[in-house]
Amino acid sequence: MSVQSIPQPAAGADAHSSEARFSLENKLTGWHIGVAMAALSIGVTLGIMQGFEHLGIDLYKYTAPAFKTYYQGLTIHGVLNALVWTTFFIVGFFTTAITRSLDRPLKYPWINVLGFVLMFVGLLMATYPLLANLATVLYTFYPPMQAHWTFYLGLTLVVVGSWVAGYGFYFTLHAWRKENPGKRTPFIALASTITMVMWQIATLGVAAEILTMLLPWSLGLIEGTDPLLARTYFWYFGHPLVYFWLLPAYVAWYGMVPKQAGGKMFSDSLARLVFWLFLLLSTPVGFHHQYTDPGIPQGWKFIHALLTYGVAFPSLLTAFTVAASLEIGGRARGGKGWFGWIRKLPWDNPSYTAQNLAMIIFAFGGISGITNASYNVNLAVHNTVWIPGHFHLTVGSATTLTFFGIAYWLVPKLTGKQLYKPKLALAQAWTWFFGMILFGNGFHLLGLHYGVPRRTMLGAAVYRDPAWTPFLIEVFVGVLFLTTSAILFYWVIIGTLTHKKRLEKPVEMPIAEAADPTPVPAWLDTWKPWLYGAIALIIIAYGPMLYTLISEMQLTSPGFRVW
Amino acid sequence: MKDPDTPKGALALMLVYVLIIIALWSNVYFTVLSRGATQ
Amino acid sequence: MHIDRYEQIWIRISVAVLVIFMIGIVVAGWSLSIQVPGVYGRVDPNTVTEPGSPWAEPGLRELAPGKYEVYILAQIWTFVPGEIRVPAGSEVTFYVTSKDVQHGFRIQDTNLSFMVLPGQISKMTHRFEEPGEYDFVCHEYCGVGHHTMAGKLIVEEAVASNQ
Repeated sequence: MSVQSIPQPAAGADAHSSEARFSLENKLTGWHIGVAMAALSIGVTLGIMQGFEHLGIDLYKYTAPAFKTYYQGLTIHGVLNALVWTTFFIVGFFTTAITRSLDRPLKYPWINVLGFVLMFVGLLMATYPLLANLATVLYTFYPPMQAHWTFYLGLTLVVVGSWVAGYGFYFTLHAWRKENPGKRTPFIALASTITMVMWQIATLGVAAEILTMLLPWSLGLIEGTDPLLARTYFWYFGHPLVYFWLLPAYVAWYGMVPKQAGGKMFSDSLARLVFWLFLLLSTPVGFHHQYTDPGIPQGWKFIHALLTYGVAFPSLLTAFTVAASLEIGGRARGGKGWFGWIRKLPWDNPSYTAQNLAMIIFAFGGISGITNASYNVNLAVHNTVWIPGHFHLTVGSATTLTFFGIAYWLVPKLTGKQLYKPKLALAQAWTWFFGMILFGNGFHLLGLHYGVPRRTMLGAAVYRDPAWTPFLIEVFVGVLFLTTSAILFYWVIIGTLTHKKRLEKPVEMPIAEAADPTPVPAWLDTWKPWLYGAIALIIIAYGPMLYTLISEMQLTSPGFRVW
Repeated sequence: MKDPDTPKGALALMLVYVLIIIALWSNVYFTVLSRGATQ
Repeated sequence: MHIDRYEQIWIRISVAVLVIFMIGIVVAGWSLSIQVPGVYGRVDPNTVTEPGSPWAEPGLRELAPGKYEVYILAQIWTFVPGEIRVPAGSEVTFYVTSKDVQHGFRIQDTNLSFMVLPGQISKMTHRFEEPGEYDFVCHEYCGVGHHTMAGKLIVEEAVASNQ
């Protein structure tokens, strides 16, 4: 998908030559988000099949050569939606966001091309065992369930490729800073880069798990594994993973959406502080995913609970700051009184609407998240369908619906085509919204009140209870809305790609200005203290337990293929 | 343009939000309490 | 750094709410004994059913009137024992491990919900006041039979002569 700079007379000329400077960045972004959207289409299809299964309708017999069982489908659903759709879209989005925010092309484009190649090769490699039913281990791949080694190596390459993309971004930011001494880093570029650095730190955990344990074990180089140590490495990674999903949405919500609303960034300083706090606090919290694990002391679990409450704070701050930024826009568009500004927001703009609806859904996802984080309160919901209820509101909506909203300006930008049928795009946003509300509500209630287990073929479960049925029907209706929404999304995107109507002027990436133009204080534009703080907190929060678990490691578990 | 230092709409929304947070969290909390001690 | 007056109010409210929730958690955990599992002990999953191990003969054992312990072995795709009977009012401590992959264990309508790992012992306690049938299920994916992995704990009416 390349931007073709068609020579235009008069007004469009500067904008087009500007786009020409970024033609490689546009291509890179296009490849990344293209792979992301292709992956999501398969992931979503599997989700639909899961919804049917829960009502007792087994569609897997019709998909047998490709998807043989519910659990194979669920593995692919998780990998494609939670790992591929997200990682590829994020790297692609940041390729545009960082370069346009800095108004500077990539410093070493070959690095980012290499990153994409590694990610893509990794994806292809992992596709083989996934489709061949050699890796039906779900996207968390907990040992001693053992997948084929190509699964672990493929995922490793995807992660390493994302690191390489990050290095390309860091060199670019560094070059900009040298070329612009004394100037504050533009917000979008800073926030995106902080996200990539957080990701780099986070993925060290899963890299350690795969490279020191799972890969050699699956290749037969080590006889056994220690499941608790593997889990601990994974969840060191698994919590910041969700911030890797969330922070790009925050980049858009803070740095782009206010512009789309006719508003400004309510507080540039607080927005930056929020991102630094995420760098500091995203990782030293992973035991909240292991509250019910044996072998980890209650004291450490409680400390991580406190730190997790710490990392809830920047999100609560975000709720206010983003709402206030939108309020500026709503009032600028004529809104009056306490809430009149809400009606005046650009609800006719599908990109805006998708992102604002994503924020509303996230408000509820955040509440169930704080509940999950609440140490012993987690006992009520652990491993029930409350958990997927929660994360479909977060990664499934805050992230995914925001990414759809971003696509509604980004795809026109990359292709130079008009967005196809904006009314369909609006319908897409609203059907996703209602679909997720129904889906989420059903699953939260089933989990909390009935303890219905997650990751389970409920339609065939021996303990299936008729009391679940009304809620499963609610979930299913949600799935029908989501199915419609997904169809609308791809219809709009494909329609845009094949649209005859070109844009006269290229789409500009929306960049919100700060309401207060005073440069932010230097400490909000300085890496070292935050980075050292993040590393120190990780050493404190994880050091002692990792030392204990590693020194007491017992590699007693052989591999099992349980599917 | 209205003075950005008085986002009264945002604050009002947040007050409604915090009540929802408290209600929903408390619901789960008291459910846990009703299910009893574990040690 | 200037922070808007209304935002400062919101910050205070947010922090206060998080602190209050934390106090609730501490009360529930340390005063009401609603605790998450901790460290209990390790086993070798490859020998855990051999003589000498409590899981060689998993099942219910009475320690004193109204006080029981039950050793449960989780395996693909059953719990052993799959049925447990106790009188109403019993306090039961569960010791659960796996001899193969990771499993989960959750008893309906209780706070008993935890991971079961090969090589590790999960321990949790519950007092069963109300008679009835309580399903327990595996809630961690453990293979294609995962949705068939379940059992029952039956709480029987307390017999008068036991008083």
